[in-house]
Amino acid sequence: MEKEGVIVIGGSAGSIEVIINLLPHIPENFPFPIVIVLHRKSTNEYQLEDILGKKCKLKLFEVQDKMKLEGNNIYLVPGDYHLLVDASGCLCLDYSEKVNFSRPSIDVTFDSFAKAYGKNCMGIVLSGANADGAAGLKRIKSAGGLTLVQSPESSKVPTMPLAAITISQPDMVVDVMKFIGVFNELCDLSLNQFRSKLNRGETFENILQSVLIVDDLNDNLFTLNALLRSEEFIIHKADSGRAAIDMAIRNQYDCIILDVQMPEMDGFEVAKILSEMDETKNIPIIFLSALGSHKEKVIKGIDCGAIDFLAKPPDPELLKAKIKLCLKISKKTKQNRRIHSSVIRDRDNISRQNANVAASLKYARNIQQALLPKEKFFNSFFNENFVLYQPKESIGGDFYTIKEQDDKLILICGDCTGHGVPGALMTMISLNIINNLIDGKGITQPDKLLNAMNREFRNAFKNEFSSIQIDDGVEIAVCTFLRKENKIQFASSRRPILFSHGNKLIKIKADNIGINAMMQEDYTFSLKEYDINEGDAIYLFTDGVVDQFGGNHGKKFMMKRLVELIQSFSHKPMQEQKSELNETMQTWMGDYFQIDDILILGIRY
Amino acid sequence: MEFKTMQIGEKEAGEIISEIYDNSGYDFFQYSAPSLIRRFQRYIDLKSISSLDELFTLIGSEPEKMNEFIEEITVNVTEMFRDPYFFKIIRQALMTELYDKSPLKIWHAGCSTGEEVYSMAIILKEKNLLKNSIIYATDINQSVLDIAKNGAYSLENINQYEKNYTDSEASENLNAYYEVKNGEVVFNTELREKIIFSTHNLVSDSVFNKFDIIVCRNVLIYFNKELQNTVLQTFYDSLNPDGFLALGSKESLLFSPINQLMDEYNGQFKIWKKKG
Repeated sequence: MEKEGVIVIGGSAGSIEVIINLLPHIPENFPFPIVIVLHRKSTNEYQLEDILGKKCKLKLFEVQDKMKLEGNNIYLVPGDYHLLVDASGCLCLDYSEKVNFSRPSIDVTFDSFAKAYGKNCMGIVLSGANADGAAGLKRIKSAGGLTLVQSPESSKVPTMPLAAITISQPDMVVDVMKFIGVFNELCDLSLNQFRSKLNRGETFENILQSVLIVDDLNDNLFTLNALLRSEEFIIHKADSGRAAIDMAIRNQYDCIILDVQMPEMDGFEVAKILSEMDETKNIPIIFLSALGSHKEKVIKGIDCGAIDFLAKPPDPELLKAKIKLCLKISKKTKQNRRIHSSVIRDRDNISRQNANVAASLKYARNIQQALLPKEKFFNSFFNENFVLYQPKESIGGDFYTIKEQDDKLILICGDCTGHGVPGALMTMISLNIINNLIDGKGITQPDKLLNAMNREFRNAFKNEFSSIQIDDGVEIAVCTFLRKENKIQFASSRRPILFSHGNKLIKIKADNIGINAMMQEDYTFSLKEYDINEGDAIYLFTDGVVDQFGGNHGKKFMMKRLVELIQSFSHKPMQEQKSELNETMQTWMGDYFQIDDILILGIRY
Repeated sequence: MEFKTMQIGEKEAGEIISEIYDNSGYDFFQYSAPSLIRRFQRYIDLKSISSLDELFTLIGSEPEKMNEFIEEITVNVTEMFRDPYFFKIIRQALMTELYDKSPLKIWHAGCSTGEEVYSMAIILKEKNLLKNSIIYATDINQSVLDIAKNGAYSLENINQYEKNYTDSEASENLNAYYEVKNGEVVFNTELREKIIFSTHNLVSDSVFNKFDIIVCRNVLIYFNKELQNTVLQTFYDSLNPDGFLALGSKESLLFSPINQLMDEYNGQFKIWKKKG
């Protein structure tokens, strides 16, 4: 039978106040029993369960051995005993050795509930001076239960919450003011539903607001407290300016009622100080002054950061109405702050993600670079050569390769549709197909290679099971050097080739068919063959060069300019040609963006 | 890396309890599960045991090992004048109700290493009742009884003991009742003379005498409800008319059949008086 649920709270120094403030606000229809483990000795001086019992609507018991967990009762551990629970929901006392120097030990109880209740319990750790409870809370979490820790900032003694947060990584770290919000949520939800809500990132808005009243005379504090007592907000009291500032820093009050005439530090000074600190500058302040509310005083008060100024004794109805207004203002301010934090968080997230993506691309670039042969590699085949490769982004859709098969050399330059990641992926596929065809099937003749590539491309992307259609493709230029016969063969899909033969610069036209996964039929590419002499040069390039916008009138570079440029320096050393090409391109581009990957291969036979 | 010992759950505990019974006859079947499981785990962690087989081999190897195991799994935590106010109430009860009993027979059930028995003896001595008293001190473990018989305790706790004694509103000083010998606190022989130490297993052994006061504090918490009721019946049957039964401060007669047969003498410290 599934157990319904239980809340187990553990705390030490500084946690009794939390419990005292919490108990009155736990509604009568709260659905779970609550077990409270406070570090306490057994004492005859006062009965803690009587004091706490008076504070709450629910029934509170000090645990007797073998008492059963029932309904929505509250169970307080007796001093100097460990508290355990058995599988049937019976609370068992134990007097064995102290754990973490404590008996009762919070770890012991959390452990016991984790074992017996597993995911049906919620463990809460409050203020305290040692690390008791941290390991136990972790057990509850491991067993699937919910875990909550009082925020160190709102804890009188933050040691215990800090240890619990570090060791158990709880589901929630909650400001003490917001505890009642949690309990209100639990009235309507099961522990499971609450957990789902947490996982979805929905926080609870049902937060009880709080008011701080400050007066050096305890009688005034008492009277004001009684006057203002409400179901809708918690009241805290401070009897000096110093105490008020201390408490305001630690707690997110929604209104401060501030006495003006106080020894040591008067109300004006307090307000001034609060207005200067980030944590407290937005708290609405209402001054109460025994010396009346003359114009000058009111102005001075407002100058010090107050919202209003009332004479003592204040009209109760009026004061309550003004407090209500402050609560409204404070709620709005806190909402805005929350939205702001959320935006900052999102922005930081996005920056982080961008950084991750950039790093990833950088790494991908290394991989791509590794797959493309370096200039030096070409030296083993040719006297001179250059590679001018400038992808638009970290990685690109242009590629090239040189393959040796028998006594033939095959030089290939390709341009895949797209750039960036999609382009790069296409280059991988293309290179893979090329390697298979040349190394695997021994195809070396350019036109035959392109025919085969066309078929392979179609096959690669043919996928009856997917509705995604890839209409990307590649434009490729292939040159095969027949070294024994000093001949050169060309075939190309949409990539013109420049052949410097003797004194002439021959422009080899390409077939106007791209290699494409969507091609329905085979195509027979045309083959061109020439003699080649030592000193001749071949230029393969992608259209990044000719399509680049620039110059004085923002026009494309165009083929004509490229041809003229190459003609002008075709007898210069290759590396010099590369420099000139590079400089020319950079100058041409000027302030314009690079629109595509740039790739030019130059080799001298 | 911490050495990970075996984790004891209900299933393993069941097997251990059976093994203990088969091996030694000690009956832990009706002990309260959460406490007992913690005790088993404590022994496992202490001895770095990684499997049930390893445990059974260890405790089954010789009777001594089994005895040591039983000692470790029972809780023997105690101190002089533990819950000082309790002793204050006992003092009152003695003076108002039992001052003319002769002999005054007292039974400490589950006396552990004896500190609370000596506390009782000291109170009797203070009120001049010791010479007419007999105290029976029993426990399941022989070794803790041996310590109790010796009446010698470590010096390190003496400050706590003296504080407890003072808190019980004693009229004198604790040091009137002990000597320090060889770095130990040794209680006076005259206290020991009136105490009879003997093994007694509350689970299996029954009434062996009749008493005016039975003290059994923080022993019943380790038993389950059924066993508690059985033991409480034994206590009832071992009480003289108008005899007192004192339990631990958070133990209760409330769910026991003998509840109707006892009057509450002190609600805070769980002292009852048998109806005449």
